[in-house]
Amino acid sequence: MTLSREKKLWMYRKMHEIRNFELEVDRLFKANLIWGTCHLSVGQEASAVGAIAALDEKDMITSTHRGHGHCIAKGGKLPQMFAELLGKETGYCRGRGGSMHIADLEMGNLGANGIVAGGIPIATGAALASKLKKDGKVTLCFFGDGATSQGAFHEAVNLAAVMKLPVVYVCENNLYGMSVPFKKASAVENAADRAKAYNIPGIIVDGNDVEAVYNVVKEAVERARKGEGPSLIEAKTYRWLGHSKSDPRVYRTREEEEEWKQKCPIKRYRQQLISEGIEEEVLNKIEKEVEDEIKKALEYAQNSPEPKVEEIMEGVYA
Amino acid sequence: MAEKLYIEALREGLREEMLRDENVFIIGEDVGLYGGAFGVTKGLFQEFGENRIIDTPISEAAIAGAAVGAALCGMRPVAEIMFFDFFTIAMDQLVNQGAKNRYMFGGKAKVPMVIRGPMGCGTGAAAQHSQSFPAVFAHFPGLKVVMPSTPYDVKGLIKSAIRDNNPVVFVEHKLLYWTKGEVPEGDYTVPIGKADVKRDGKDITIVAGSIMVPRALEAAQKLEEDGIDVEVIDIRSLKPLDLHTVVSSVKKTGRVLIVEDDPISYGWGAEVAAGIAGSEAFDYLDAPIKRLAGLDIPIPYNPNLEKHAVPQVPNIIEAVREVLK
Amino acid sequence: MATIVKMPKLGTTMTEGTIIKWLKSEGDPVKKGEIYVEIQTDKVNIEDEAETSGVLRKIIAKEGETVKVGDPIAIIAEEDEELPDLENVDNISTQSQEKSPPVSQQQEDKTEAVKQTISDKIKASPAAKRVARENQIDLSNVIPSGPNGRIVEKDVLSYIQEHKVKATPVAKKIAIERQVDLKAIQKSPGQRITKQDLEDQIIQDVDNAVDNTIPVIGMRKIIADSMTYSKKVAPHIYLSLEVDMSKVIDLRERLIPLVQAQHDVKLSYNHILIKAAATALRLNPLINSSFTEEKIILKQHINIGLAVALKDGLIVPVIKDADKKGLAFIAKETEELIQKAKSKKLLPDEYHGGTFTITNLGMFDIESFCAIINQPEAAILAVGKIIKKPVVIDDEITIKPMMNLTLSCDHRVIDGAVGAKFLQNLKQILEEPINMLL
Repeated sequence: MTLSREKKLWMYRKMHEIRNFELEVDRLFKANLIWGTCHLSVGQEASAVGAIAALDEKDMITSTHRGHGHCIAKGGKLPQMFAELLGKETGYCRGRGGSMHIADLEMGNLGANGIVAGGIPIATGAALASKLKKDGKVTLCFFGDGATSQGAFHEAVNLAAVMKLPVVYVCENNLYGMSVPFKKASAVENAADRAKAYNIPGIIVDGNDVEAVYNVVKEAVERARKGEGPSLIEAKTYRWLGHSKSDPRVYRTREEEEEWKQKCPIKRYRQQLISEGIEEEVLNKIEKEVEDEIKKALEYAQNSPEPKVEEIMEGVYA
Repeated sequence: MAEKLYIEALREGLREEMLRDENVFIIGEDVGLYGGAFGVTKGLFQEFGENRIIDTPISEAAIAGAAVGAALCGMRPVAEIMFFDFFTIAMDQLVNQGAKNRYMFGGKAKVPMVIRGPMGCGTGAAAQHSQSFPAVFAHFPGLKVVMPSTPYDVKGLIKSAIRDNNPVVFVEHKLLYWTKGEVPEGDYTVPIGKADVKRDGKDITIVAGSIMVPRALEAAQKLEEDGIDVEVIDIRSLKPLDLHTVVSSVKKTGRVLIVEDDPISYGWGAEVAAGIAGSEAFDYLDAPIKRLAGLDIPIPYNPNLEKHAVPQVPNIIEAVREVLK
Repeated sequence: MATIVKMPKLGTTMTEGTIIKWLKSEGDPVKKGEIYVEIQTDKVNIEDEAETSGVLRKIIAKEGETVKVGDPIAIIAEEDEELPDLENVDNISTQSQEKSPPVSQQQEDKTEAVKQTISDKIKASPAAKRVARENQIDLSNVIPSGPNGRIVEKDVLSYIQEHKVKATPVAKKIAIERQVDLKAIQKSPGQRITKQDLEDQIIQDVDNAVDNTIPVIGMRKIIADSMTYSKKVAPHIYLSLEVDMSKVIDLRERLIPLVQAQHDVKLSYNHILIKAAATALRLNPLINSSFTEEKIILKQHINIGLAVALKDGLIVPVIKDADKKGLAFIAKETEELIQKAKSKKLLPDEYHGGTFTITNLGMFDIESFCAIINQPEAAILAVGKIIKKPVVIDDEITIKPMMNLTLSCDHRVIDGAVGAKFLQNLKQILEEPINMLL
């Protein structure tokens, strides 16, 4: 499965968008310009991009509380994403949802989710709809290692397996729930080992190798589209920053963090692309373009209006 | 007496009970080394070790269910649910099991557990991390529900809750953790099922709970400048509910305003209002019973909208003036 | 459709009005356009027309009562119609509050819908009902003060207090025999009326029998208050001189027919005085001023008020910019205003804004007098009768028609010499009327 040059550059660009967006959000938060908290996915760009690159545009995803990367990879526009984080009327959720609840149903993004494992049954449901409607769509369900401890995970995956629903479950194992390491939350060593309980394929992949993720997810997506049922993919990765903005990361060592930073997915991919013959200027150009886009997007968001208090009751009922 | 933070008083209460009774243990997510998402259990892991401060995977149903099971077998678990919103994941175990075991088993079992967590908005945590719905649990027979608003009350009530032989839902509020108050040294308890008159007055009674207690007290102070004398009652306990204190007060003042953090429809204030209207206070009412509570919307993310979603001090002042018109 | 009649605003500065007389009683039918009440504002009486037809169901503001503009004074409705909620009347005292967030008022919205149902029941709070029950009070007699016409506890308590009459059995007996109203007897609250009180009251009634009273309301009250105030704040000094009116008399004779022809009014001395004073004021701006704590305001316009006696008081219509108007025009305007003043149809704008006042009692044979300054002006000119007097001119006695002018000055603004100069100028103008052309 060789990827086209176009696709490769798309993936490179998307990873940069995510990295830059997350770092910008971090900066904004430190400058006290973002309300609430954020769960940033710096370091996990490859699992989001590689997986979503394997989808058709009409396919759907469900995301998590750490979902900015998923949203951007699935077509989320930077201006509207910044606007939502700044609580503006022009944000994806009219300023009412915030970081953890960004959604864009038209683009197939069934939403980030504040409840751990909250999106897994929803993904099962979306896949059920596809099966009933026979529309050929596949749903990609993102969740973390912590979510595999929730009852909802078991119920949702079990149901999808029994009904052979067109869904691919992607566990981004970044080794920690909030502070509790995966090995203390799971009796099995790998999240993918749980696939046996549902008689579905369980595949482990290096989450920081974007093309490896792509390949594995592509296979699973094709299986699902053919009607062969769900798969459980475990992408091993690492989040560089804390769980949320109030996490001093006492539960892991700085050495461990450094070790993983060396395995940065973006740096790796850049080296890979250059070794494959892609010109450095092309990559630099992409980086520069992304930087400019980020600036413009933030400006758009900052100049956007606040939601009106008079409209506070709108949107509860249809 | 010393001035302490609400979170410190709560931690002290937990610690003292754990020292007093070896059957008491704490179970929840990130309560160990991390010290709890809000820092309530900070330092306890170091003191009591991993057998009494138990970190779990992210599994609220298992946490609640394990607490029920352990309690049935003679332990006194204190389960921490990170955000009140996640109580919904624990519903079956808490409601269908823990609340009913004793009655279903003919009175021949008891479930002496505490399950606690912070409710409320004001921190920008958005819709799934900012809800208040303590009334939901008061509705299920078999559960007790308490809602302390001061450092003094939170320490006294956590002790009472732990010593109580029934499942107690212990409702904290995110914005209360860093508030200060006088806390006496030594062991003391606050009784479950008793409201508390936090401020005497004669012109109008405000019945408030949780975060609305300090807001009502602030409003009362401002209204005093206009010669309006406000009595503030902290409801403190939703189940059992102390209507007696409320009724006596309303008989005295003739006017009552109920202020809540939860969305107004079917909030706990409706229960209090019905209680007043159906009591002997009815003949002393000089104005209709007024309720002030949150809007019937999920909590919005935008900070300005979030502020408008629940009563603030100016709203309380305005409502008092309405009632006194 | 019931209508709540409110106190109308009848002048730019009117803030309240007094009910002088109800021309209809409660229960009387009223036709739209029919005059049914007399209201006094400051100094004019206005007869108000009914804005709708129906029955005058309730009089809210009684005779003699002073009410703010916009407050309810009566209700006109159908005979058997339910009286409307007084809460719907927006009081002018309702300030716009700082914008308050829309915290849930669901409870109130629900009760709002319920209020629409018409019922015969009187609205009273449970507490009010209890007190009424305990004291055997008929709630239909109690005036509500709560929102939506609700009787609240204090209304019932007030009613009880007002109607509480404690008297000994003997006193009660005498009261009935001699037809004395027990309520009229003043007693400290809680004290019983005794036989002695009755006897004292009867004696007092006899003493009071022949006395008539005039209520101090409306114009009388305003005059009493404002004159007292003026004397209290302004230290008055009085400067007096006599003017030879020969040339004015002459001038008047010649102008009378001309003015009559032009405006059909008779030129009077007052008209000439107004013009002369206006001319003198232009030369002496300090006389045409107003005192405030921080500064003395030298008024731009010369608005001369002329005191006009009414049946039971006085009013001062104002001729605005008198210095800019011709004598004939001043005459016309003055006469119009006097007519209006006498028939109490003067509008507030026509008696406000004066900067200097002239008062003339010459027609009542008064030779000289000292007037009280009309605040916030700084001076007032009192004019006496023109009397033929022997005067000394060039050491010879001759007879001249002399008129006394006494200028009252507010010494906070006008010192003796300043006032004197004005009077001198005025005298010069009157004794040489051609000066008025300048």
